[in-house]
Amino acid sequence: VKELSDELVLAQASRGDREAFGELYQRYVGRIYNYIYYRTGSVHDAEDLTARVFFRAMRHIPNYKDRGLPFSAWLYRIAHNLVANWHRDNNRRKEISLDDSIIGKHEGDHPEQELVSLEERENLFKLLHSLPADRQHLIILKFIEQMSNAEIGQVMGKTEGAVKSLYHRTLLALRNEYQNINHVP
Amino acid sequence: MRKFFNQPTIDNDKVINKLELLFTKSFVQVTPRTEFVHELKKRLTTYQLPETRQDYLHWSVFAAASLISGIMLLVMGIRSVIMVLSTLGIISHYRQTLQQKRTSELTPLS
Repeated sequence: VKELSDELVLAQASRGDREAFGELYQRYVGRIYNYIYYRTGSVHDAEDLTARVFFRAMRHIPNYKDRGLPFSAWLYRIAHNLVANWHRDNNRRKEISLDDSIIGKHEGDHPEQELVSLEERENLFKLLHSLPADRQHLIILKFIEQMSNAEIGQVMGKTEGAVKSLYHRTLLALRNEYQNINHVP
Repeated sequence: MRKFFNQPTIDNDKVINKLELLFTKSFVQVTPRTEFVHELKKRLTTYQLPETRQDYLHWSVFAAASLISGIMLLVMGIRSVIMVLSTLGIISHYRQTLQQKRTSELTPLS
């Protein structure tokens, strides 16, 4: 199973093959976890929501229809909906403790991050979480998953041009906010 | 002030470039805990899927079809038994009539 392409593994998984689903899980758990982690800002919630994404995927995989999009697009869609529910139901966006989460956590693991000051990173994450959900999604796919605009378009169900335009508008909005936060003249 | 920032100046481009650089440096891939990954895989492979609405619908249709088929078979069986019994009755009645006829033919007239 490990050597098979996504399409073949997916076909087996949709027929109820648990081993095949386990392989898909191994291939995508990291990406989905990253996405949720940066959207929620907490390890605990990222683990909880990642588990929910895969349980939901397992329940619905027999109904999965291949529309020519990558399988990850389907998983990201589930993750996106669950994170949106999480924000809406619990209104936790305000409760995200930045000290407890992304800001300082990986300083030791990733020395390159130390080049960016703690305050700057804190402001950056505040900026990210102040964005609408689809723009957060775009920024995470762009910078964390390092996807191209075409790949992001496939995941988000938009054209490459629409992604490019949304990215530009997002950066302009971020620039204004960043200047306000950092008091840039 | 906002209008000024919206104008494509070199400074504004610098801010955007700085933002992109900050994102690149700050947003790194994080790895989920190994125990979490293994534990979740174990849970996924042993999890019993609850019956979905579609499964329930399939089961209901199958049960209804089975019930209707059973009733039809029972009715057909009963009708067959009735037909056999009525055929036997007709044959028996015919034989009786035939026997009576023969008896009356053989009996001398008084």
